[in-house]
Amino acid sequence: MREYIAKKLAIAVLVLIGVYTITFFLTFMLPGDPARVSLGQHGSEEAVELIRAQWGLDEPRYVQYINYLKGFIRGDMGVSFRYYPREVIYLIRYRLPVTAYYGLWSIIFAVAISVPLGVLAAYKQNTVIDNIAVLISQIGVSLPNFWLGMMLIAIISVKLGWINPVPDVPSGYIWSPVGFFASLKDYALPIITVGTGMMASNTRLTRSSMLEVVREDYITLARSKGLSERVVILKHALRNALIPVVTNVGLQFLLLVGGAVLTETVFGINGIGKLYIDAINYRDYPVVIALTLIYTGGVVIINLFVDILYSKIDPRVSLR
Amino acid sequence: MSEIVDFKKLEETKKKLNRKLYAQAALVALVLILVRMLLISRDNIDNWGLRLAIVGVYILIWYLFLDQLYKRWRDINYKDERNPIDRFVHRLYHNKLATVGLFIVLSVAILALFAPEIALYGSEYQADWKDYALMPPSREHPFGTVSSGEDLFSLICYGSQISLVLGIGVEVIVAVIGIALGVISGYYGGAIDKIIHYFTDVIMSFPFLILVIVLVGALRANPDLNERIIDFSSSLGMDAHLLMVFLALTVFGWPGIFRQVRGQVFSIKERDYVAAAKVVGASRSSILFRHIAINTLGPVIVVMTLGIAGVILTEAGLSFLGFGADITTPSWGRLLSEGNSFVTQSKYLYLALFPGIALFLTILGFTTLGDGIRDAIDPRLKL
Repeated sequence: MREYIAKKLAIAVLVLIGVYTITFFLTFMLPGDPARVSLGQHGSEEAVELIRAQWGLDEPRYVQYINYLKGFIRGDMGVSFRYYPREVIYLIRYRLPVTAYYGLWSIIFAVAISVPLGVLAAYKQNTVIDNIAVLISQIGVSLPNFWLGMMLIAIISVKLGWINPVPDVPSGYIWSPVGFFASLKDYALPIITVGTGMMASNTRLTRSSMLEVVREDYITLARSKGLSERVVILKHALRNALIPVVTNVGLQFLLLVGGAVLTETVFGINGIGKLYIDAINYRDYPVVIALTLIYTGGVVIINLFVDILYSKIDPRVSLR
Repeated sequence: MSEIVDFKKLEETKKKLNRKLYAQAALVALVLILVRMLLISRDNIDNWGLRLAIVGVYILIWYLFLDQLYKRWRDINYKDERNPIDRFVHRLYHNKLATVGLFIVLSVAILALFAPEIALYGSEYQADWKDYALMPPSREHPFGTVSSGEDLFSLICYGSQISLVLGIGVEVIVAVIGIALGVISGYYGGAIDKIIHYFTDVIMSFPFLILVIVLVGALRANPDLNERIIDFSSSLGMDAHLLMVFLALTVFGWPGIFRQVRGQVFSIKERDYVAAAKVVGASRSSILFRHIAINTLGPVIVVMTLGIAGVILTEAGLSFLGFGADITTPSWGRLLSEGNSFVTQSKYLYLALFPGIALFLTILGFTTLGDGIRDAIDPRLKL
């Protein structure tokens, strides 16, 4: 077990270095000078040179590559080019809570609908209820997220005037015990937008996973013991059927960051997605690299966690 | 007393009949394509209704032709037995969702193939159109007009070509790369396998949309590459920025198919028929392609169909964010981004509504068709 984890961690480090290398080369090797972009057309030549020296841009690329890597190993993500002299970690710490807030709520929304729906659909397989559940999930999977967001804005906030299209809540407030629930209304549209796709894929997964589990011998055993159907389904079957769903939810939390680029553009939310896209537009390379590495780190950790989880839950899975 | 059947002779007549059938079919198809290219065009037929009717008749003729072709082919090759294609089609038709998906996909394909004929207005921008900016839906403009005065319905028709060409084009190239690397990786194993697998690990741990955006940004900002791509794309008559999206999606799109194929090859290469092929002295390339690669195609087609939906969605997202199609290209994502700038005014709702429905239906079609094909190939398949 310990050996397995060590091996996986070693691969994870290699993957992180690979991701870092690709991101570095795609961003830093671009023509165009971030110092010049940051100062604008009117910045003097000397000022640009000074900033280049300060940011270490005057050094050869490979030195920059190594310096950056060293910084990351020490946990120093460098300084943002666009918001100089703010540090990258400061920007992320400021923006992440917003994305995490509506992300968490959309996952709650998605799980609250998808798990009961998926179980019901599997339990009543090939009935009207099942067909409706399958149809809902099929539509939900195919709805382009950003279009759904636009339609919600157009209908719910513009036509009906129920909610502000742009959530306007200070980011410090949303994670306070009161604000966590009080801001729900402001973020309702992004939460539904992001949550619909998640809900759809989780419903499919819950359904198919339930269908597989109820065919297992131990379910027949539980039934033959005379347990009520309720206990069999909810206690014996659901517990095992949820394992792939839990995995999926973990990955969805990360996919959220990729999708946030679109969602936050539609809703004008100042979260991680907006930070990402602005950083790409303004050549704020330290931010791009830092965000990408954090994301990749998340993927790696979740995958490792899932591997271990499976081996703990299912004794038949052996880690080698 | 039973007759003596000469199998060799039977085989030969079969071959002869097949050859004749293929020659005839090729001839008819060629004539039909020539008719499409030379006769059916919006320049020849001014009336929109008449144009639609002709397109309809033309499609009907194609349907009858393909139907006849298939029936004759079956009579020659599978006279009294059920063949695998029949079985597949039978199962596909019994899946309601898959039938709906197939219907949507075919409709979009027809829309793309006959976009200039189905569209109400031409694709060349006319100077007097700017007087018709932002008109609500009406008889002349069933979906309204955009801010440049172009007819939204016609733009959506032309946009279907972009989505479909990009989706299918990317997935075909990605499949070729994925199958080639997957077969090599799965068959040889060892160091090659580890290296390729490492690259897929790296690519798959990126946030995909961001990765594509960064690569497209890099291609756009590099003057040398940029110039070459613009030269190349203008010789193809294509939007240079869309070509960059195409490149970025193929560079990073293959790991999904690669993993699928690699996993399959691991089990296929242990099968008896591969061992038999080795024993009779089949060449290595024959084993790799005729015995192994061919047998991974089923799941690959499923992944490709679902992948087309993904590519179409990604392109729309990129164009929406301004990293995709040019302002003059009627990509659905670009139309949606225009709709987004008017989204707070409810009288312009149609700008975002119609391109979005087109995008949604197309993605729905490909995902349901993909699921349907998966169930028809093997209901227990996990993809």
